Amino acid sequence: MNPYTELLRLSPVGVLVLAQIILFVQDLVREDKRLSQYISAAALALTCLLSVYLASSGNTVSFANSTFVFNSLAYYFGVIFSLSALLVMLSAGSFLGRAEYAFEFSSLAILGVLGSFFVASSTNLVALFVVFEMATTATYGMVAYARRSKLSAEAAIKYFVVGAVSAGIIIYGISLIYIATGSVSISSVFSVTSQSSQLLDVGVILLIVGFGFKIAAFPFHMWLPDTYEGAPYPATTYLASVSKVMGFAALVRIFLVMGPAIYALGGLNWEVIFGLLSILTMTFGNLAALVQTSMKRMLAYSSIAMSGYMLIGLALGTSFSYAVLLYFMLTYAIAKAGSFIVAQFFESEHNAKSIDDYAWLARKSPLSAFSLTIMLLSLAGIPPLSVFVAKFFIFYASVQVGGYWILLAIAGVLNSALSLYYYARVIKNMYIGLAGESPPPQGPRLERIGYMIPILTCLVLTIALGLGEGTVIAVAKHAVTTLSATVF
Amino acid sequence: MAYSEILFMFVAGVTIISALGVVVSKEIVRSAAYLILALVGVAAAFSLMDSLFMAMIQLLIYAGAVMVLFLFGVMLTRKEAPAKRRRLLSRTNLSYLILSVVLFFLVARSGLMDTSVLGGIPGPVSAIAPSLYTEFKGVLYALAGLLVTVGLGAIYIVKKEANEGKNA
Repeated sequence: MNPYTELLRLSPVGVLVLAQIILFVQDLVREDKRLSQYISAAALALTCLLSVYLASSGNTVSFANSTFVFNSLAYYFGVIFSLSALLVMLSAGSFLGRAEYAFEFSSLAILGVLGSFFVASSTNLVALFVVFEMATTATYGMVAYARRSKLSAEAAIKYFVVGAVSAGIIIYGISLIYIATGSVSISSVFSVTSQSSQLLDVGVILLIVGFGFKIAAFPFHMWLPDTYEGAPYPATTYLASVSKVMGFAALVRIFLVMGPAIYALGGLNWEVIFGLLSILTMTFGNLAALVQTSMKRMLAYSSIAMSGYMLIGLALGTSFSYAVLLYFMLTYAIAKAGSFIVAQFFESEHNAKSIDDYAWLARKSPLSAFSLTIMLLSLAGIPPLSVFVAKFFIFYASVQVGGYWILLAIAGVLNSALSLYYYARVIKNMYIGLAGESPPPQGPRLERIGYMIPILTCLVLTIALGLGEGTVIAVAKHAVTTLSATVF
Repeated sequence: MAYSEILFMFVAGVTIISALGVVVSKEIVRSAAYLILALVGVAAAFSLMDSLFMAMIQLLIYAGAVMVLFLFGVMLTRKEAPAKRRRLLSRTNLSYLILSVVLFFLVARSGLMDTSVLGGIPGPVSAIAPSLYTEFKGVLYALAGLLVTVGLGAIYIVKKEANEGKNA
């Protein structure tokens, strides 16, 4: 391969590494808060554009003895990671302005994206575990970023303990798979001896449990509401978008390649496990979100419910369902990051924390209230917005498979109807206020440009991805088929 | 019952009892000492299972480096003054001597002994280095990234605030 082509294909991660070095130097010589925020935002934007180009043109390059292979799938995930982290960095301006130090946050965001990018590209379970931990460790630092706040410390401790336990479970699962198969590479061809096929099954179940903590599937979700609520807003946005998609990236990476062989050799019906987790997760997340009074907590529970819908894509295990899952993750990350950013804006501008505090906010900040409305409707599944399209296709995929799998579609549709209730409550409060309360006298205020850039980006993408779903799903389908066809 | 099985039972028993000791004992230094014993027991179990490399890693990293870190932490956070100087021929020094002799023999023997390497086939310990630095070099790069991230996060969390130094 031409060295320049190779360089180009490694450039998305190269840009991030370079940005990290520049950030270190910048902090050493100038210690400029704004500058480190701009550097990281620029690097993430560049990575995003490069990944979009490389994902759509179907490139592949391997790195470090094929331990990491960057193909369309890795670039596709790279787009989601860098885009969501870019939104976080754009919206973090006022938070970092108040914080004592700003450089570490930008640095951790870059390192987290770098780790996640490598998770999506690793062809080896041990390598996947190490880069997964790298990305997770970056988020520990971000959750604990508001050092004076007790809530932030509590959130970080809860997250750290759960993260450490899940890391232990994952590494245990990997070692059992290694004992059973004699290999740690993620490949579609491997063999087990007849005595150790049960070891393989136990190892795979442990992997599902370990990564289940990260994506907050139902029995492993306990940490999520407290952590999301206690963490500073930019960290919450980062957790809900980059970190959650990374958990799915690891699962897709493993089960897309190894899944059929696991079923054939170990006899473990992992698809049924994912199906059960999916129904439990979406139902629990939605029921818990119904009774929340705090906006941040409501969004946290709704992100658990969204994990449930996305698990359908893994449960079906067809190449179409994986492609739809990829599209779903992109739309989810944007809509969720957008709603958290608007919530952050409303908290800093109007001191609005509970859902009741959102009364009449559409009169005060019409543009961001409108954006929040669109994004919440998208999450609830109202056509023609992007998350609706994703849900529609994922339910369609389960009907296509037929049999008992149709139950997943039925559960998903019922849950979507349920979720509309708590999303609509926020929208109602913003536009027509609380019962018996008159609208505030003051008119709309000028909305802060620092928040409006990421919010409007999310708004435009939420609408545009819904209308132009064909292109994205075609790229996703291409990414899935190239990966499942190639043997590493 | 073969003598190796009896030996394994003994080692396992010692490990379990000292693990209980870690939890039960009231004084933190005593807990740490029990923990060393438990970790050495695990190392012995590894070596009985012909996994000499794992046994050495266990001894060097856990019983060695990690425990030194623990003891440092205990020493630095305890308020009372450290105990008086011990005699040269105390029981503690004797146990250090025994431990270092065991470690010395393990290191000296390691070049000759077979151990299970990655891939499941037993082979010489020296085969681990090439596989670590060629086949799995990507993992090594990833570890470098992990350490940078961990360092950055940890330093931020314990870093003094800019105006804290003036007040103190």
